[in-house]
Amino acid sequence: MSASRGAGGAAPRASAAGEARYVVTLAGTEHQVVVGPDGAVAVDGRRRQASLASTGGPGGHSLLIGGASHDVLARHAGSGSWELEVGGRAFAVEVLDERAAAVRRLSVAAPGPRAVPSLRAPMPGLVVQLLVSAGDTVAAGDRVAIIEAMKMENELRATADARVTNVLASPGQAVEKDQVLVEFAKPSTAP
Amino acid sequence: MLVANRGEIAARVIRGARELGVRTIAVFSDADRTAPHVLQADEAYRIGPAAASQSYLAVGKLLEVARRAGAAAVHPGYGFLAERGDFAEAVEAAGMTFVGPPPAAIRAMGDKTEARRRMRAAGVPVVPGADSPLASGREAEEAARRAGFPVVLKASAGGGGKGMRVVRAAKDVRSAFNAAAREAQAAFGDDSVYVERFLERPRHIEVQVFADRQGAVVHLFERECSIQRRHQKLLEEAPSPLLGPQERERMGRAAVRAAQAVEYVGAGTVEFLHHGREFFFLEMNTRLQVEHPVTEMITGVDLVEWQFRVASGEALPLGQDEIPLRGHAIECRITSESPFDGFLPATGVVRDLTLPGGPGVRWDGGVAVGVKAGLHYDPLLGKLVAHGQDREAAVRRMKGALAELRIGGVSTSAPLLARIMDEPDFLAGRLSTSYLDDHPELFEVGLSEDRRDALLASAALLEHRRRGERPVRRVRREPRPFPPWRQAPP
Repeated sequence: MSASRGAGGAAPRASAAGEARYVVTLAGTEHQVVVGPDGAVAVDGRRRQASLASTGGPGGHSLLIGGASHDVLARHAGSGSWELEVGGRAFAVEVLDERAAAVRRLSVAAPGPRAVPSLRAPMPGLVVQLLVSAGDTVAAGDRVAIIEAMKMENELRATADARVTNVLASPGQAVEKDQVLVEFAKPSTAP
Repeated sequence: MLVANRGEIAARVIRGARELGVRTIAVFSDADRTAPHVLQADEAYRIGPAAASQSYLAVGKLLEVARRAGAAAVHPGYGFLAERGDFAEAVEAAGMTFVGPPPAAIRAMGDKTEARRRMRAAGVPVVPGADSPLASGREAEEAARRAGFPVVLKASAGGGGKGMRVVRAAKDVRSAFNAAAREAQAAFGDDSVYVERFLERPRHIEVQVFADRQGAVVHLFERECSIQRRHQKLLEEAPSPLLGPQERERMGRAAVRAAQAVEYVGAGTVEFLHHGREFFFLEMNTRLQVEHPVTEMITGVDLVEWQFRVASGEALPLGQDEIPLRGHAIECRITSESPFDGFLPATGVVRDLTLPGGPGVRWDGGVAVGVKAGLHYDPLLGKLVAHGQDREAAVRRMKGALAELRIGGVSTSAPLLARIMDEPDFLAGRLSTSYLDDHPELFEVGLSEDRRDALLASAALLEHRRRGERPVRRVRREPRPFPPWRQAPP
């Protein structure tokens, strides 16, 4: 059997020593993690004994690594994606086997001309005001929208000089975190 | 007794009432059907949908539930209707006792401009500014110029930072005025706004007062509440780390005068801005305060119990000279926010809740596993309080307690608070309301190598296990030697 498998596939082919090699991406940086058959885990070459045990609650785990005790709350977010909470902070990580990681590296296209990122709701809330319309030009720092969350108004400002191409929300509308509110193009782009 | 509130304060008041053998009645919105205050009360009734305006602020529904349940008294908690004179009046008119000050005192202090006039008359120092609400953006501009920039626009009906905007230049007054008025309307149902000089880097020190119906007024020392974000307190302590006994006495006496000036009854807090060697009356909160536990820890007084005693006509249990000041207490507000992401509100379902314990540690909470920390109400999940024989001991305990506290599923202020416990200016008591702005390094989130390795190892082990649970291909393993460990040489 030689078909290539992406994330979500079987455990990667074990080496002669029974090791499974993973590429774990945290905040854009890839790390090599080798899970040994005997409970040893090597993170970027640092090899220690590790044991991960569920603590019973949903997603609750205890990790002992080289003797150090950590509480880890884990949520599986589809294929190799995991959301982990450690020390009261949440992190998104992606775990790929070596082959899937190599395939992904090759398939990442060269970056295109820099676009102006859309304005997204930074939190779930209620749109109070939209201060721009399609066709307007905005300068970095201009107020674009006001969102109310937890009874506090939050001003959302443009992060770059841009031309408004699309307004996708309206006052009074409830929006989810990361929902696109306003789309932009570079100011020089012809309408 | 009916508790017209939710969250940790409803749970706190229910606990106090139960100790006195009083039957407790909770109310809940659709968002709070399984919230702790509902589970803890003897009885609980639905009052409407999640929106506060249709539930916790719906006076008619609350009174209807109180009547049907046969409540003899209503405790408003803080926030919501606690400082609405018409609510207090409606409760009394329905033949029930309002556990709080008389409506006239609520109104006098609730109208911040009226309060300023009264305090000036009673000889309590006030911050320079306007004594009447502003009618328009234009009027706001003029008043701001007169007071001198920077200024702060505040909701006349306000408190808690809502409807409040600091303005540093004339060009920003109008948009700030409009935003403050809208926020004030949404939060308090009243859009009037006034202006005050904004004091740079003041300290926020407040005095707990208590008055009975017989006319006795005492203070229970001060609380230092300087560590704030967006004008909302994050950490409070008692006593203030840098107040000498004489200044403590002067502020205490001024607070008592403030309470007397409005014929106050019950628990109240007189807030001062402390600047240089001066202090100015800021406002009086005519209710039990979020941070009341630090006062309880240093005085041994149960403020909720005193509220009930005073409401039932009893005299204050202790005179001024009988109120002790023992040790030091710190409170950390554990809120559902992302402190390292601009304090944006965070939402999520609480999936894990492990509470700290041990000597001198107290948790006043309003969450449980499965509760959704949502959009609808204040982000306060609970308050972690530590008491010690001195400030150093209290800080040590708080540090330990924050390390023990685990709340999973929603990001909280706890990691930031843990960092503050190690910050040299905090440890030295060098505080001001700009403390967080002055310490951007607290928000620089690094990740120690140990913790990063723990994260990476956990992720790989979790994924490895997940793939192992659904084996698509079996990995052939060499049989393991037995025993699997190496024997030490004899």
